[in-house]
Amino acid sequence: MTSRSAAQARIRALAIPVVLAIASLPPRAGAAPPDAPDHVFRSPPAEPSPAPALPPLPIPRVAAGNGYRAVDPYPAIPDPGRPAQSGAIPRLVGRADGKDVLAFPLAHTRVSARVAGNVARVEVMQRYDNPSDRRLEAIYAFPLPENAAVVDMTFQIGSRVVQSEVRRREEARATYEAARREGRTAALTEQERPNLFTQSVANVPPHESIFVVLRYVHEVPFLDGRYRFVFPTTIGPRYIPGAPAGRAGPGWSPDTDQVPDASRVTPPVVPPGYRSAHDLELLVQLTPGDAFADVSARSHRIVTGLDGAGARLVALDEQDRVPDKDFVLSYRPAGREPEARALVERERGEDFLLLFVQPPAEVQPAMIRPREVVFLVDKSGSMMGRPIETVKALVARALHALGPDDTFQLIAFDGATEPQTAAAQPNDPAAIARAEAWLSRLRGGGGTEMLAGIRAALRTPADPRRLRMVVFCTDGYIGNEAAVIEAVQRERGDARVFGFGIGSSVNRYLIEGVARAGRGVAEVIGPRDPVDEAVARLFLRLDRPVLTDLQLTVEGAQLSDLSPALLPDLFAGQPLVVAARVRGGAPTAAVLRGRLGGAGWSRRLAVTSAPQHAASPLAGTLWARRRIDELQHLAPGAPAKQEVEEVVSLGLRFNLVTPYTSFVAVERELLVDPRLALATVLVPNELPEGVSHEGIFGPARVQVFPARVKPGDPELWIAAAPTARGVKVKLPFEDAWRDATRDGERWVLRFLVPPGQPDGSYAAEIAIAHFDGREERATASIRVDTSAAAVAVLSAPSSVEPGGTIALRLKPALPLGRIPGLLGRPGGLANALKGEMELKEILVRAPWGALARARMEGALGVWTVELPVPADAATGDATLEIVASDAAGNVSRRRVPVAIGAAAPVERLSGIGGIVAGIVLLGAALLAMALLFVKMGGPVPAPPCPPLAPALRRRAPTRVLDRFPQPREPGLKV
Amino acid sequence: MRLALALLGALGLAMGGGAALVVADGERVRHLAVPILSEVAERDASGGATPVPLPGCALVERARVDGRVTALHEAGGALFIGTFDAGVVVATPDGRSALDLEGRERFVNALVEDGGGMWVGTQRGAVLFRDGRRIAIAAPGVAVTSFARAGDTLLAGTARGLVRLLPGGRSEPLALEGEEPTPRVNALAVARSTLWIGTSAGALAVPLAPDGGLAGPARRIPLVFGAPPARTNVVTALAPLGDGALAGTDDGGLVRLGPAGAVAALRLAAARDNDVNPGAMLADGEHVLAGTQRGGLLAVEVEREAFAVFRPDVTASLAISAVARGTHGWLAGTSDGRVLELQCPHAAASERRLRTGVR
Repeated sequence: MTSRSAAQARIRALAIPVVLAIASLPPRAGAAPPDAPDHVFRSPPAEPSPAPALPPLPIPRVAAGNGYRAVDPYPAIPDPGRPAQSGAIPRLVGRADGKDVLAFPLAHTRVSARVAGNVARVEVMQRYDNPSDRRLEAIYAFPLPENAAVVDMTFQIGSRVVQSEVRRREEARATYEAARREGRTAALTEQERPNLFTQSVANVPPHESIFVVLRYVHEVPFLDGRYRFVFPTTIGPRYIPGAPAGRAGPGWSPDTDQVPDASRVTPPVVPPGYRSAHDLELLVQLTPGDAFADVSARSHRIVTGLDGAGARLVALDEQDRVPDKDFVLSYRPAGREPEARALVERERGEDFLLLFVQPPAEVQPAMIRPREVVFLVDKSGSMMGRPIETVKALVARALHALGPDDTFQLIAFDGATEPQTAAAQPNDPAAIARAEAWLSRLRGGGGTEMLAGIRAALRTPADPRRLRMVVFCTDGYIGNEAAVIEAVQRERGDARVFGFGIGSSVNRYLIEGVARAGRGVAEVIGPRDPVDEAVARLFLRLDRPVLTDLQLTVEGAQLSDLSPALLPDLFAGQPLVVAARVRGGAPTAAVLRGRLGGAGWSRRLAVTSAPQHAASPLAGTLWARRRIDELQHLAPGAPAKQEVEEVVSLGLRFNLVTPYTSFVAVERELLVDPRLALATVLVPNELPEGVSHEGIFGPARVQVFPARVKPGDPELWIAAAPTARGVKVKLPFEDAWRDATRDGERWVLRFLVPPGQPDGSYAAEIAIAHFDGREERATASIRVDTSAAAVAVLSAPSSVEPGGTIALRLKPALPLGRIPGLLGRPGGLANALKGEMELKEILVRAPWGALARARMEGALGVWTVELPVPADAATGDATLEIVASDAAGNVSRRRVPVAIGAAAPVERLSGIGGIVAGIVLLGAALLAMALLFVKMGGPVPAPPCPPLAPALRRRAPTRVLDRFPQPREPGLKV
Repeated sequence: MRLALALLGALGLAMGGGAALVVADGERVRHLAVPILSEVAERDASGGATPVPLPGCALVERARVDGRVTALHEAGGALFIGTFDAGVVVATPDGRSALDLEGRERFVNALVEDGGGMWVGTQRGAVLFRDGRRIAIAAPGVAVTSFARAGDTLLAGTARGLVRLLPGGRSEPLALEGEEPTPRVNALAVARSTLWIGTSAGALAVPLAPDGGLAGPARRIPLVFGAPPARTNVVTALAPLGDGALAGTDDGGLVRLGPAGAVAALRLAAARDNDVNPGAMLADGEHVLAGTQRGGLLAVEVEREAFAVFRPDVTASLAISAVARGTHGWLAGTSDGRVLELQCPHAAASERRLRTGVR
């Protein structure tokens, strides 16, 4: 049986219990009336039958064998308060895809989703195994869609099913902790972010399994004529800004002053070279099956079919079950695209309205204003590799799609912000070429100081003639999402911000939040999504919103607590979805008013009522989920007590997990011996596909700025992994260790090279202490250089006629007499020779005031310079002044005589004193130094901001810098 | 004979090897130097001027902080002390406080008061404070080394060029016409109609419009060509001098820059006097003060084409890393964290001093 046919067979097998469960339910609430389009607010699908219909699935293991060995996954860091007992879990259980496979307690996740219209009901079953002789606690931070309303949690152990209760978060945790101490099996579901939850299970008996079932509902986004059902499977490692401030959770980061719950949102990741045995089984039912067309998934291989009840089934191919990327299922309505629909449904004794409206398709080109497009690019460590290449391609394509009156600016950020230009530049071929060259040099690495990037993009003075559009490209792996969304809201002014999520497992909560706060639209580009289509959609929206100034009213009733509270402007392809409370009667029609282009626009919709006494109404739940989101965004950093209490109230009333309410379930019977040792194990997440482990958790990178110094005040930068909690440096000039200062993602030390320090390369020792107890060591080379390179004149004319040109050929020189002095230099002879040979700039001045800069040319790196001789130059002997500078600013000077107006010019070799002997030694020295140079690793890199070196690298023609005036001002007597 | 043969053999091998290397790895060979037998670089002329001791000054310690003092400003009874790596300490008669700076913002380079606020130039941007509260940050992430005021315009020199600081804490980059790529600015000075910019590759002179805007292209003036030339191009500090400027350098002493671009370097005899600390210059009336690495405070008086250099006796052994005008005299910050107030008898530029100021 082929893989595909096996998967199809599996679909059939899986589909049967689901269909049976649905068929056994009472008539569904809110069933759409016969005349309603099938794909809009069709009655929400019924929940699958609750436990005990949780058969232990046959879990396909990659491999199994005897002689398991324990592996310490990096950076899985045990909770200091509850140290994990290693030796039992994780275990190496096999090998797949060239990687060792580790078994953690979470063995399997099964996802069953039923989608109707734009609403999905999803059931997630997690199976935790305890293969040890101890009682087990497993903690798993996992993702869900950012708009998921988690409505239920149960667990099953053996034949017993335990139902959860929703409680205030602190109460739920206290209940769980008490059960954990007593040896009672318990489960706790907590929300860390709208798209990040923590599941804890305590006291899994030895050699037994526990099944945790979560149920949630969510709206399925509809954009550009297609629905996109997303199930995220892993959490990207978040960058945590701020200073450490304790540790409340088990993650790899401490809490910080900017992300107070950082230790709860930084679960461990599977180490490089490993994958976890945890796999994913996923089944989506699209119902009714004939309402959907063009069903596809770019993220995964899928198999599809129809079940006996006519629903379209979609399942993951068995060969594509590693939970390392979002599952994205895309489809479009089979019939005409929906335009509008309004539905009222009663839930928990109250009426709620759900409204869906598509904006008109037409756009008036004449209304389009010139734009100032700012591309804000995340180039942090998590973007290293494929994601940053995707961004480059996206921006490059977008640049070529700009209009002639548009301007643009590129800004990149990691731990620091790096604009390509100080301000927006006009859209012309030269500017685009420069931008593309700049883009091509971007590499992923460093932290994610996103706030600084946002500010840089939004605080630059706006061009009043143009509409500013910020295209924000990121994977969203940060812990301070609320602060970033708040900053966009606060700083955006008249600008619009479009969130572009880049990658296989994007933080959609951030991307959506930024776009909402920035009055733009969010889009996610996966690794297999074509960039061109994304650019086309972007420009369709950049042109302008189609509908603005929207207001909603109903006839026959009043609306309150609308979500969104302020109706957004609508772009092409972007529908409006509104949820609201209905008061004071039964609404008969909904009226939406706004502006289309410059003219007024309105739309009146008949309101449909869902049948009363429905078994599974959802409108209220979806409204409550949206309302909670609204409340959370009022003051994300410091929510007011009143708002917190309203969230709690909604959570308790609608049975929802929120930041302040959790589900807790406790088995009443004692199933495990509380005297047994307890092993607490964190379940790691797979690193998202395409994300570089090296880019985030790699060894520290150390830099000294400037690279070569005279005695002065350079800085030492240490880009350490985010697990670093302290960095100390021992400078070669001092005896004591000094503390480096945390500066965003890096650690820095500003220090002084003491005057009189002899030339040479000195090693600074660096000790990095990590939160997991590791100490990492590194060294930084500090090169002290106070001696300037000499210059040899390879050729120069002995005479030049007035009106002619003096051409000089120069080369850095190494006077052999200096070599003995280099032998004892700190850092060795090779480094000393390199320093002696290094040149950054050569300036030549003629006595008539002409000043020229030499350029380096040819395979041998000869510096050439031409100086025109004025036609009226005085004849006679003249002296050219040659001044050479190195990267540290050291200067050497020499003079070359030349006769003006003498006989025919004769090329000569000059100025090296002992030319013949020099030539004899040239080859030997060349070879010796070349070998040394090879050992040293090549040319000296340019310093961070060289004033002139890039011009040299461009090999620009010699430029006469200036007519350098003789000091005709009153002689400055000294 | 055997030596000669060996030499020839070695030569053949070497030339062959070298040629092979050229073909194989030209990029590296490009950076090799030519071995030569004798030194070709000119030796620096020995000697130099010696500052005239200036007796009669009094030195009072006003404050002491941890680490090197890099910037000072006194206003409204408060003394702002910028430090090398420990932020800004504000000393008032009521006590001390620290400004809210973090990370590389604690690496302070410059201070300037503007419209009731205090700008702090740091290695990570210019941070604006008002009434002790942090208001905004301009040029975030970029080292801000210096400030200068041109009319109503407040300018900041940064590692990525020049910016104009705007009310409310925003900033706007100013393109330096004729300077590609944008140079790192080490120091700034405004002299009548010219903005002087100190870089590591000499000085730039930019004409200023009456409103303080830039009115023309930047002109580069290397310090290493002049009468006499300086031995370095690295400008560490600047002070206005008529339409020209006086530049302090990293190890080349003081350099006078004429309005038309003439260069005249003043090299001092003791090496310690030639290292002017970053930003440690101040134009105050007829004096320009320069804080040196180890040679104390230099007071320069200029009259037409002559200038004289004095050194208050009491500072002779100090490393002066910051200078400012205080309420009662000159303020000097030292590399060991002291803030000193210097009070000297009014040092009018007398004919005698101009004749004998520098020996």
